[in-house]
Amino acid sequence: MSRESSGRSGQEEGKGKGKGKGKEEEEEEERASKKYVRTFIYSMRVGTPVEKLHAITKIAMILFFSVIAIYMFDIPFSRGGPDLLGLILLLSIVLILLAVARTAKYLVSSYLIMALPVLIGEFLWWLVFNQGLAGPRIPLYVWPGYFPIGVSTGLAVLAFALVYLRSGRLFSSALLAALLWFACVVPAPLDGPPFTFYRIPASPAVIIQVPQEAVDLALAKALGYGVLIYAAFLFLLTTRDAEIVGALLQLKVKFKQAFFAALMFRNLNTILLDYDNVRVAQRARAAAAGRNPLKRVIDLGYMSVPLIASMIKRSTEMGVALHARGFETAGTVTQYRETRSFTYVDAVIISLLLFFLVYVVIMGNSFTSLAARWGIWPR
Amino acid sequence: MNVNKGSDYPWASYGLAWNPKKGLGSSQYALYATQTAVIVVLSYLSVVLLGPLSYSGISLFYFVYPFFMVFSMWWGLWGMIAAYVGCVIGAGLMVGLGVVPSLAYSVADLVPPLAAFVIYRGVLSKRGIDPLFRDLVEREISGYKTNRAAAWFWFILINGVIFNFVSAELGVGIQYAMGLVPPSAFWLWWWGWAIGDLAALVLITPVIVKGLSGLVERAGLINLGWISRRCCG
Amino acid sequence: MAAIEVKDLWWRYPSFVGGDNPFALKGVSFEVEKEEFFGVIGPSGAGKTTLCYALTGIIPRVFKPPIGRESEHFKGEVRVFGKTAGELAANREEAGGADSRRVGLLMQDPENQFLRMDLLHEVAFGMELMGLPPDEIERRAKEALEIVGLGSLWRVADLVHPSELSGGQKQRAAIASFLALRPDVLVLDEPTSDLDPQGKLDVIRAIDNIRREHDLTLVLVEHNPEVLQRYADRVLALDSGKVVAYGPTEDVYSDVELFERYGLYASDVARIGHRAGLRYMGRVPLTVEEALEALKGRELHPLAEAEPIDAGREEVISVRGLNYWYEDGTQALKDVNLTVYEGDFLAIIGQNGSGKTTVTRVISGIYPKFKGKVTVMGKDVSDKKVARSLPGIVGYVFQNPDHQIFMRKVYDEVAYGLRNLGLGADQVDLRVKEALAWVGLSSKIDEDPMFLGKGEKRRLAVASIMAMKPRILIVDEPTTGQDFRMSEDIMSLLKKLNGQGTTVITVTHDMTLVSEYARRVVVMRRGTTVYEGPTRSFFADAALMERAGITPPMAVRLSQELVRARPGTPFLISVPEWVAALTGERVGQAAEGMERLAEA
Repeated sequence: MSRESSGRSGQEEGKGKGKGKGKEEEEEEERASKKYVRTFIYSMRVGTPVEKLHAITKIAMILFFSVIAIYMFDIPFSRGGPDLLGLILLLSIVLILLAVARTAKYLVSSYLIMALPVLIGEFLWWLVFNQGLAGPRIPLYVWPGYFPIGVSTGLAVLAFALVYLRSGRLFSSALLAALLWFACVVPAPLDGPPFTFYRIPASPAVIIQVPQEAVDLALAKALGYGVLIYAAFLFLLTTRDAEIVGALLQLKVKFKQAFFAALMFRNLNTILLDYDNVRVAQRARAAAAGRNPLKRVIDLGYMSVPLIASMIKRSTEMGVALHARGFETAGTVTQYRETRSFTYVDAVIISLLLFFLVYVVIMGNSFTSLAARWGIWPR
Repeated sequence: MNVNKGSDYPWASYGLAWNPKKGLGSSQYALYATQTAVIVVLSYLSVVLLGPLSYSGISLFYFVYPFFMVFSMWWGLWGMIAAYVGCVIGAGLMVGLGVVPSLAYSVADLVPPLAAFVIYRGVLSKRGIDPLFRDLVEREISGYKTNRAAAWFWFILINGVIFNFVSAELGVGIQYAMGLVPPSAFWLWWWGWAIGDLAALVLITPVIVKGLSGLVERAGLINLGWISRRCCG
Repeated sequence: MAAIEVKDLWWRYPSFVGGDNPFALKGVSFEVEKEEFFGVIGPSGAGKTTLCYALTGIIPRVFKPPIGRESEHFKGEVRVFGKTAGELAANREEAGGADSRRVGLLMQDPENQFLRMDLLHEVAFGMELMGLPPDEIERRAKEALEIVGLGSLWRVADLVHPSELSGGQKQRAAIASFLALRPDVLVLDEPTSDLDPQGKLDVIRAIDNIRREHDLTLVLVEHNPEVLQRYADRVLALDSGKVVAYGPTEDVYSDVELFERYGLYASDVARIGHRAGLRYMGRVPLTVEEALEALKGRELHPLAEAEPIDAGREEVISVRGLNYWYEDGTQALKDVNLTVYEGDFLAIIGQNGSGKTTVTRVISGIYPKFKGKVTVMGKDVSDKKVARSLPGIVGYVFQNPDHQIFMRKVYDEVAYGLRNLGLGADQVDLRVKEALAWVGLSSKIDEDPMFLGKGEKRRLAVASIMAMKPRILIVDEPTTGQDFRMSEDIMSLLKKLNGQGTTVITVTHDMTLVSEYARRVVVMRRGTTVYEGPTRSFFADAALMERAGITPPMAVRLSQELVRARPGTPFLISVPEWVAALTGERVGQAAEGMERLAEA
């Protein structure tokens, strides 16, 4: 996650020689070249509309979205069941905001993509544990009893070829292709997927049926978790730690207390840096960590003691640095560019959120029911 | 060393006074901020390293647990604050779980360290059990011969069983009330929480105590009471 | 009134466990005049940092003596402008405005001093705490950044996160944050260890300018002799808490015997002068100009030994067209080509940010995602199987031993890598004991590495890598931040290893080291290689050195001047060579002589 220190921000050590450009131009270039700013995790693009929002607004967004999502998936079936449409709407809003904040690059290239299997896992979990629900049952998976050779097979082979050529990984491509093939077979009627040339008989047909309500519930939970996760990411990817401290100060928290939070964030950074350094050193000692989680945990166990020891030692020096800067004897502290002003955009958004909250939670409206009444939503 | 009364033990100065040395110096300030950050990172790693198995912030092996237990025994209230913040931010926000549920159920993480601090420093320390868990690994402390069996017994009973179960109940219970846990999976989750914590506690506490007690003691960093640390620097 | 007066200062750190600590400062007395540039030198553990703390009131305000036993911990007096240092720190609050007496402290590790989360607020922090008005803060912050050479970051200062700054930049930022407070006294504890030599001089020059313009009194703890010789008025030398030398810079620095006895860095020229009997105005020459004078009338013997020729040696590492990008997209290496031969002692040099460390990490397999061709022992590193076996072939010793040590016993620490490689228990045991004996740590085999001294930790780190018997050893900055004795220690260890057939690659700033040990160099600049070849040829080419932005060691600069004055003299690049040329000893002999002194 961190990079080797290298003066990345464009300044060369020890070079004071003239560059042949005016000072102003250099500064303009510097500002312009700083397109990304470091946020909680990773970096965000400077200047996006989401970045300009106040930290309190962003926190409000997570809080409100979370409460609404939780409410939406907790509506009991006696009152119409979870608000699927509402959740879909909510999730779309969050994803759109993430796109607007230009965070797509990070979401795709990082560990966070694991959120998808987690959501799928949650869906299955809720599904499995709710077989006891009454009501009509729908087929979840249909196994027609034979291996169909046709369009679905063709697609699978094509997918395999593409993925393999691109990535060179045999196993993953095969797995993907197999999954695709099965997926083609899923929504098929009992006599198999369309455009089948040939059928290789395998076994008697199997239909896995689940209660309709279980599917609704599982889907609702998965979508709801999605909202929770991605709303949190929205915050983490677009907010700088400094903004939190600024927000605290605006809420009239005393400087030394708000600064405690700032120091904590600063330490978080240092620890991650140390952790990275130690991991790199371990790699040089043939500790091939790979993806084996157990090994990683054990290695962390070995590393944690010296890591903590070094953090404790660092904190002593930090204390000295604080003292030397005049922390202990400070009287009234000037707040120099610590805070960001609360704009009307922030006010508008918070009002919208409040309205949304009242509408859904307090007045108990459900978008699904609304749509059903208007005939848009099936059932 | 003969011990006639509670105050003769080598750890007698570690008690339950609220704030024996007034005023937070820069070093302490920095230390408490640092240990909070350490717990946050460890909470985060506890959930993340084991991958998606551990969703809902309930890790199958919540290895930060022994860390904030030990930190609370050393630094009192600060360790407990770190436990809460760690769960909210590290195992909650940074993992992507919604803050709202996290704010609520992370309270469960406050219970074990709080209980341990009060019980150990208030009662057990006067009966020959070290409130800093050193007697789990050391045969003698400053000349006093420890009773390791008794230490382990109380350790597992109080931290591994009683208050661990209470916190599991609280944590999973709150999540259940919010609809984050499927009803039929309640006990599975519950046992997952409890066993995960217990395993981590038993396996990792000795490592921490053995590796770091010396450093922390020598630097005089241990708190005399709930809030402030040892005298003189 | 002197700016700083220290009278018979004794201090011991309070002990919380067991008996009392030994005294860290024993009867230290000295004075620093107003606006003086005062240097403090000493080996590791001498008490320099403790002294800095005492001067700035950290002792006894942050490190407090136990109540009731103050006189057993703190004896003597420290006065800054007449007030005791403790008083000064407490009265910070009452002292407002630019006239107040203020003492600033800069510490060694830049990471621990950077307290805020962006550059702007870091520089402004002290001022905020002082309660200065915002426009004043703005003005001073901008000015301070300009002075330390970070002016171009002003516009984006509030967006620059500490993780985006290099160690050197953080050090400059720390200096800026104190300069903005307009202190009267600034105490700096080895503040430039992360900077390359040019950067170091730049920063010190800037601080010296401020001293002159703003009546600043400076106390600088520094190892580098050239810096102090050039800028310091007087110097204090400490060893084991006691003052062993104190006086004008010239007087202290010309006592080379003292330096050798206490393991302090003397300049190349002084060392040459001492061993070869050069005299300038009755003492050892300290600068290149003085040495030139002293050389008048001295003949140089031709060097008896010819350089060993590299022909016919096997290639062990081959890098062609290497390109590497960091995670955020910046390009760290651009079309790097280099070759390492068997038995080489190679130095990779370049300014900070030139990519020298990155290259070594790619070679050793630590950074696996690169573009280009890298072969080690003939095998392609991009092959996964090869990459997995690399730690057994290429050993990597990191700059900071704390990052590499994680077991609780010295034995286990060395055994860790061996166990990972899959060796049997007997083999492991054998190799561990062998490696520890080699570095001289056999007596500490059961100790906890956390409690070892700095030098011992470093030797442990080397032992744990060496036990894996790598053919190639890469050492990152072996001497940065070390005192002279520890530097010599590690370098002679490396030389021994090289003598036994291990190929050694070091990444370093220290040109003196390069000239004395490395037979070949690879010079990097902004991510590309600009030179690869014998050290001698590199140092002989002044234009090339300038293009590469490298400052040659003093011994080379002396040669440059001498060749200009007496064309035809042999070009000498290191202290042993100079000594040999002046005294007729063999180069190897001269070098060994100096090493033996260091071990004593």
